[in-house]
Amino acid sequence: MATLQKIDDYRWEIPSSYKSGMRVPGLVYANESMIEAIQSDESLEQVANVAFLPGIVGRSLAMPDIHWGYGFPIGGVAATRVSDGVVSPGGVGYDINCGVRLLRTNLDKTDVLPRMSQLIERLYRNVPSGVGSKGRLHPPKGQIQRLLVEGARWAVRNGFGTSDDLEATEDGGCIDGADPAAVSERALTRGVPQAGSLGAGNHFLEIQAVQKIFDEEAASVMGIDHDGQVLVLIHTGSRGLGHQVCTDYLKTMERAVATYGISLPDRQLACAPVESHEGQQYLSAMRCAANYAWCNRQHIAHWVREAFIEVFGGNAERLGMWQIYDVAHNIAKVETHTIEGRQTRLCVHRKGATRAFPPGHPALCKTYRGIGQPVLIPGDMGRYSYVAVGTARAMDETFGSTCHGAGRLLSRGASRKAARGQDIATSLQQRSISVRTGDLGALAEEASHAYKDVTDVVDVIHGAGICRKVAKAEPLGVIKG
Amino acid sequence: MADLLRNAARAFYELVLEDASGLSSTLTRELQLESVDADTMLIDWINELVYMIDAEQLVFATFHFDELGPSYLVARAQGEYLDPSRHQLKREVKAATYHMSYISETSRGLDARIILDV
Repeated sequence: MATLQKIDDYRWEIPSSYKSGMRVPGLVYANESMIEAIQSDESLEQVANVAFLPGIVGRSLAMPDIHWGYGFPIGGVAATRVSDGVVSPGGVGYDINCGVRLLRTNLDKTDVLPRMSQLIERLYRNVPSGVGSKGRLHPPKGQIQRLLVEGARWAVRNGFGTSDDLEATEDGGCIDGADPAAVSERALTRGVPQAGSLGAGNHFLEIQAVQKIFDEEAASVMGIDHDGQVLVLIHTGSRGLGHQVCTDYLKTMERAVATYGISLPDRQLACAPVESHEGQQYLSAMRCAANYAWCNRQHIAHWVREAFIEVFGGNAERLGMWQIYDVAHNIAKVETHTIEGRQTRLCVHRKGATRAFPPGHPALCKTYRGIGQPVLIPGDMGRYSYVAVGTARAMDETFGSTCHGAGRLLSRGASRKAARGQDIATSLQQRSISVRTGDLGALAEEASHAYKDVTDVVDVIHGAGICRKVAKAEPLGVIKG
Repeated sequence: MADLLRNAARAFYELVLEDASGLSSTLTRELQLESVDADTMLIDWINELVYMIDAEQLVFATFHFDELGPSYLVARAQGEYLDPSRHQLKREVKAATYHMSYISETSRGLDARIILDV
């Protein structure tokens, strides 16, 4: 992209003059070598296209894990004014509230490694995963509406986890404004049987060991206290329910674009004014899907604890299995931010991006008020993941947002061609990483070579100041959906 | 257009099933779509097949179009319930997307592209 302008070592601007119709400039977080790779696909065009959205403020943002998405780039953030801006289902994606949850334990990797195969088998049995997997939850028909309104709270009320889990979840695991009447029968038919499952694609459950602590004070608040400490990371979303909500409302938005005379460079960006009937209906349904996802991760966390108890004995308290945090990385939220000195209500779309609120933010629970919101950044299954915290600079520059993962380098098809699943499994085993999957092909799609090195991504966001790294963890065992 | 819809369905099943050959036609479902244009109808068509797999574990072998307009259709789809011993799912599809989709007329007939989110 000829017009890309370097601002500093971590920031690149796409000026609004790049394309007629851009309402704001684009801002990409990347280092010199990344920006070359990023330009090999159309993701920067997508950053420019997002800048066409009516009511967009600040800049159309791209995190360093940016890659080519559908309409919006993955790793994209866009904030629109609630008063006269739009909401776009493409800015959330099909897997609404795909996100990650991190549990800590009192165990050390020397406790876990000798029993790893037993633990992995138990987890694999406890948490349904893989293509077409049906859930373990089976919510009674009369309870489905409650589940969609209450999210993780519904799960805790039914004995799956504790109120401390809710404290350590974005929005307490329950976003307000969910209206089940806005969710189609089709979305329910698709999604309800899958409630309580990991799913497939890039979803996984990983047992990790802390490899390095960068910020001892913040780590200590999170309960991360030594190298080798065992953590568990859960990555999944809203399954078929979220997928169908997105499909349904993209059709609604196609019509809305014509109704409201909105001009867009890409149909996948279809949108409606936030305050229109269509916009409000979408947000109501999206919130139901987000709550479903939090409920899903809440149940899975409970079954993970059960698996640990079955293998190591004791109880969750004795094993110290409390939740560090749970973040959404595909979601649209109505939040208040300072725009040109004025408090303004915005609809912040985070598509493959994580909320990263700073210390002192009222949305944070008491535990994290002092250090900022925990940010969970999974890498690929062969390398490592990071825990970070939100910063004031993120609040100023990115509407309190940062990256969500490593970011793809190769498409799934290209990744399958580059290596066989069996070879990937063998290579992981040789490095003492246990793997359990029902689909070796899927393993090839999610191998390290398919992703950027997450350390490069985290170094950029840390260097740019839009979050601060706290700890790094290496994988010990993976259940691949 | 009927051939395009049939071939798109065939391509879809090739992508999502381990072995898409030999699907039987033991049951019939009526599928109805009304879309804003032909491009959207093709996407809606694939999304209908995605839904049928997720919601009913149904896959179809043959399609008969009782009505087919530029942006609407009524079809009788014949197929079977997924039998894992014969047809294993190899991919979970979230949806057919609008991303880079097109239908164009060529000297050999209609050419189309649809990208699936998996």
